[in-house]
Parts: sequence; C-alpha cells; structure tokens
Amino acid sequence: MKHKLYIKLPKKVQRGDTVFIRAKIDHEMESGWRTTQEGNTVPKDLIKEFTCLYNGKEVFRAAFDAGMSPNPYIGFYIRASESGNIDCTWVTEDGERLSTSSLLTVT
Amino acid sequence: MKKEADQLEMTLRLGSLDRRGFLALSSRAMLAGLSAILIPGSLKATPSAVKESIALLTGNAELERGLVTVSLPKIYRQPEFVPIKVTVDSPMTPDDYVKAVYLFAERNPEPGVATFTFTPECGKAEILTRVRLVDSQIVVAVAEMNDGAFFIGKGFSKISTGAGSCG
Repeated sequence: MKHKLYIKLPKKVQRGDTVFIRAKIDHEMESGWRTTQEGNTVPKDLIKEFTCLYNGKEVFRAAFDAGMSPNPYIGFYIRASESGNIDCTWVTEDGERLSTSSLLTVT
Repeated sequence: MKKEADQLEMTLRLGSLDRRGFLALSSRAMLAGLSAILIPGSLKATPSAVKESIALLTGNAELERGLVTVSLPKIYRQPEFVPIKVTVDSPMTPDDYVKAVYLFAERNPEPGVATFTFTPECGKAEILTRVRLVDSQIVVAVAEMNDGAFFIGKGFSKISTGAGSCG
C-alpha cells in the first residue's frame, strides 16, 4: 500500500471523557510551490480532506491546503459516549478515498 | 515600480530624457517586471492578502480577541514540519460550540493552511498538527462560533535554516 494510515487512541476510556485521537497518513503533500531544475513547477498533489466518524456519525472534519506539512498529522478530541468504531477517511486530489478504523472501548 | 514611473514621468515632463537615461530607466523597470513574472514561487502572500481572505470568510464581521490561542515554537529549524496547537476556549455544548477554525500563514506563497470543522461531540476545541512555514511569520487562526461570532488569534514562529544558523 502506497499511503500508510495510522490512528492512535487510548485503549480504555471512561464514559464522558474527552479522548485525544491522533491520525496520520503517509503522503508527500506536494505544495505546488517548488520548481524543477528545468524551471517547471511541480504540480500540486495534496490530501484534500479528512473526516472522522464515531459510530457512523460525523464528528470532526478537516480540509487541507498547501500549507500543511508532508505526512499530515492531526490530533483532535472527541467525547466518549459509548463503545464504537472510529472511522477515519482521507480523500486525495483525484478523489481516491483511503479509510481505516479502530475500536474505542468505553467502560 | 511606482517610484520609477514617477521618475520617468518627471524626466519626460522636463524634456531632458537622453538615450542613456531612458535605457537605464527602462532596463530597471523591465528587470522589476521580469522578476515578478519569472519567479512566481518567490512571491509571497502578504498580511493584507490574509486580511482580505478573512474578510471574505467572515463577511466583514467584527473579529473579537481573547478565546483563540495559537501555540508555536519560538524558534524552529525545520520549515516543513512546524508543530502548531490551536485552542479555542469553549464549553462545546450543543448550545455553545465552535463551528470551525480557519488557519492562515501570512508569508507563505499561498496563505491557506487548513480548515477544521467541529461538532459538540468533540468535547474540546483543540487541534494539534504540523504546518509549512517558508519564512519567519505570523500564523492567524479564525474561529467561527455557532452563534455567528468570529474570534481571532495569532502566533509567531521564527524559522532559522541553513548550516551554522545560530537562532
């Protein structure tokens, strides 16, 4: 797989806690600012969008622009209400969707 | 450019434009023009461009201060990976929550960095990520609340690169 996806979350959380979630994708995030030695600009190639679903409901979303670093990493919070899946989806410039999911256990 | 144009106008008005003077003037004007055309990558966004895009975003609404904090390292050596933390002070209840946070870098070739959309289920309006900063500059964060109010916060980072740079 060309782009590796990562989600990190705590193993066990209590109901009502705010949980810190980290998500990352391995991607170059070519900004379109660089030029080659021949003087041509390197075309833009970005991850456009990131979405996080918690139990099938959208909780957090991000739209990226050229100012984001390569291998865009993002850390955010959600409030734990019940055990369920956390699905993260990244959308590339060509509309390709890359997703991964992880289980959040609430005690 | 403006200064040169003024100079040219003045010399024309005085009627004392000899060949050498004209050449010098035109070549300087041409150089200035060429450098603007040939190296678009070297052109940077300006704080006023960021101001304009924020005005477009908010519809010229008033920007309040206080709730948004942008934390950046004071000095950093890797311009591609500058860690940033944006915090908005909000209870994140269904009645009072942060709708979105917009990030701009003032002196990048393109000022846009990212847009984050929150829901009350987030529990906390805080973001940790990494941004590209091609130069030492101010990063602007604008937070949009659910009641339509806008808050602004700023952070500065000095980017020092190259061998032997001592901060």
